[in-house]
Amino acid sequence: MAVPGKVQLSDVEKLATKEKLGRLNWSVNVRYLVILVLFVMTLLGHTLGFSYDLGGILVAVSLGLAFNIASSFIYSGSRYPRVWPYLGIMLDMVVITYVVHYTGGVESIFLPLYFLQIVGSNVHFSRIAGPLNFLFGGGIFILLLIGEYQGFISHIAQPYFAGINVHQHTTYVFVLALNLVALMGISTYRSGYVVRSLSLVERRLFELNEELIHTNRAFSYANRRLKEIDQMKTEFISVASHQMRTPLSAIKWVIKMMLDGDMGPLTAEQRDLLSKGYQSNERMIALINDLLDVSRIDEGRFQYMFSRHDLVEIAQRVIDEMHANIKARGVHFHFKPPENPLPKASIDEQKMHLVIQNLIDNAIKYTPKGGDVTVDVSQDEDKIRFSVKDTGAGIPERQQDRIFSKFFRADNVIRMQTEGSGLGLFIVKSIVEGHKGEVHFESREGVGSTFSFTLPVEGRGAENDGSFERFIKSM
Amino acid sequence: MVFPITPTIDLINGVLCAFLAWKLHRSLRQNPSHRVLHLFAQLYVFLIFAYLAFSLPRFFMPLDQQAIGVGFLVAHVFLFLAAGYLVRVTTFFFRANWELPAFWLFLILAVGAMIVGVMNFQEPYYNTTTGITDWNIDPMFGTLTTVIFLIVLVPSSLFFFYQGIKTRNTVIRTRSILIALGIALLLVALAIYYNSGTSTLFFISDLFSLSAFLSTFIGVYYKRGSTMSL
Repeated sequence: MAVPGKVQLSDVEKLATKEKLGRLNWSVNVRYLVILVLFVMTLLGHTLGFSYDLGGILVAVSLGLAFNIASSFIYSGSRYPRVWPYLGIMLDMVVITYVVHYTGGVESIFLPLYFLQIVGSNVHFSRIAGPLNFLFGGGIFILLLIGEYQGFISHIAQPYFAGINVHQHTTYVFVLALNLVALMGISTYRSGYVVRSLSLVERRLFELNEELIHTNRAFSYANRRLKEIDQMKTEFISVASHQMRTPLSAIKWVIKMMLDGDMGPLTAEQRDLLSKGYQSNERMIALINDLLDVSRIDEGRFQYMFSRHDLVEIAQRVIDEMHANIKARGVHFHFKPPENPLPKASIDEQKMHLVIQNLIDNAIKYTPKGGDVTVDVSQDEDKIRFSVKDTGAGIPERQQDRIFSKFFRADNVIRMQTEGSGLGLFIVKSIVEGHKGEVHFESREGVGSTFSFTLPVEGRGAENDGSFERFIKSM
Repeated sequence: MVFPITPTIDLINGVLCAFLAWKLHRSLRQNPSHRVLHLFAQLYVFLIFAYLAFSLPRFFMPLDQQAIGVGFLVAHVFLFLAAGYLVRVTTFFFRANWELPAFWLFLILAVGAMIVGVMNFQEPYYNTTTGITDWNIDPMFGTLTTVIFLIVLVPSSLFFFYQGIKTRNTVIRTRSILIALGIALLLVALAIYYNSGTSTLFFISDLFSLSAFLSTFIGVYYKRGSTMSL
C-alpha cells in the first residue's frame, strides 16, 4: 500500500504519458482531417481541370490512412510508443512528397503542406521531431526535384504551365528548392521556439502537479479514515437504535395499559405522572425512528415505493392528523389548496407523509402563540411546489448553510425548545431528493421562515424527466 | 470548366455530416448505453451517404444524366432513413412507446414515395457552364416527399425549439435552439428543392441546406467557455 502523502513519481510519469498519448491521439484525428481535405481538394482540382494523377494520389492517401488506422490502435494503449510516432512523421513526409509529385512537382499547389507538417510535428511530438522532419522532408523534396529535373522520375505537367517545362528550368528549380528549404528551416526554428517555451510551462505544470498529487494523497487518506469512522458511527447508531426501540415499545404498552385502567384505577396524580412518562417515551421512540431513518439513508438502505399520488391529499391527511397538536400550540394555521386539481406525482406516500409532517411540525414548534403558519400547494410549470411559511424564530444567517446537516439545531431554537434531534430537515432533504425534487428555504431571524420543496410532475413521455437535457448535454 | 457550385455544396454538407457523426460517435463512446444519442449519430451517418450519392456522380460523371438521376434516387433512400431516425429521436422524447410504430409508419410512406420516384424517373440536368444542377424532379414525387418531410421536420424543429427555450441551462438552450434552427432551415431548403423549376431556386435551396447543416454543426459542437469543442 502506498504511504499516505508521499509522492509516487510514477503517478506524475503516468500523467505525462497520458498527456503525450492524448496529443498523439489528437494527431491521428488531425491526420484524418488532412487526408479528407487533401482528397476533397485534389478531387475538386481534378474536376476544375488540373492534371492530377488521381490513382497515384489515392495510393498515397490510402497509405497514410492505413498507417493512421494502425496508429490509432497503437496509441489506444497505455504505453507511450517511442519509435512509431517518428515513423509516422517520416511517412507523412513521404506521403506529402507523393502528393506533391502526383499534383505537378514544382508546379504543385500543395507545396505548403511541408510547412504544415513541420509545424505540426513540432507541436505534436517533440523538439527533435521538427529538425528531423526538416532534414528528412527537405531531403526527399530535393531528391524529387532532382529526379524530375534529370528525368529519372516522370513529371506531371499542369495545363497552366503548358510549354514552359519549369521542372527543367535550372534557375527556377534551384531557387524554388533553396527558398522552400530555407522557409522550412525558419518554420522549424520558429515553431521549435514556441514549443520550447511551452515545454518550460509544461514542466512547471508537472512540478505543480506533483505538489497537487502530494496534497491529494494526504486528503484522500484523511477522507478515507473519516469515512471509516463515519461508517462505524452509523453502524453503532443503527445497532443502538434497534436495541433501544424494543424496550421502549414495551414501556409504551405497559404505561398505556396502566393509563387505560387495565391495572386498576389511578389517582389523578398517578395519571398525570404516567401521562408525562408516556409522552416522554413517545418522543424517545420518535427520536429512535429518526435515527434509524438516518442510518438507513447513510447506508443507502432507504427504499422507496413509488406510485402516483395527489400531494394535496397527502398534505390534507397530515394536517388532519396534526390538528390537535396545531390547536394546542395556539398558532393561526392556514392551508391553501390549489384552485385547480394538480397532476399526480410519483411519490412514496409514507415517506412524503413524513416530509410534510416534519416541515409542519417544525413550523408550529418554533412559531410563538398567535403566530401564523401557512401551508401552500401549487403548480410551477412542470413541478409541484409545497411550502410551509411561518412567522416563527427564523434561522440566524450565519447558520443557514448548515440547516440540512445531521444533528444541527440553530442557537436560537435551542434556547426556545430543548427538545428536538436536529434530524428532521436532513431526512426531509434526503427524501425529497430521493423523489428527484429540490428543497429550498428562506429565513430571517425573528421574522420567520419558508421551507418549500418541488417534485417533478409525472410526464406522459420522457420529456419531463430530464432525459432530453441529458441527451443534448451528452453530445 | 466552371466551378461546380451545387455539387461542392452537397459535398460540404456531406463533410459537415461526417464531422457531426464523428463527434456524436465520440460522445457515444463515453455513454455507450445512450440509445437516443446512438440514433442521432446514425442519422448523420445516413446523411453522409445521401450527400455523397448526391454529389459524387456530378464530379465524376457530370454529363451522364442517368448516373446523376440514379445518385438522386440512392440519396433519397438514405435521406428517408435519416428522416426516419429523426422520427425515432423526437417520438422517444414525446411518447417513448410510439417510437417504433412511428418509425415503421414513416418508412411505409417513404417506400411509397420511392416507388413513385422510381416509376417517374426523370433525368436531371447538370449545367456545366453554370455549375448548377436542375434536378428536374417529378411533380408528384416532389409534392409527396415535401409532405413527408413536413410531417417529420415541423414537429422535430418545434420540439427542439420548445425544449431549448424551456431549459435554464445555457449550453442546452443554445444547442437545442441551433439544432431546431438547423432542422427549420433544412425544411425550407427541402420545400424549395422539391417544388422549384429553375436552376436559381435549386441553388438557393442548396444555400439553405448548407446553412442548416452549419447551424446544426455549431449546435452540436457548441460548448460554453469556448467557441468549439473540437
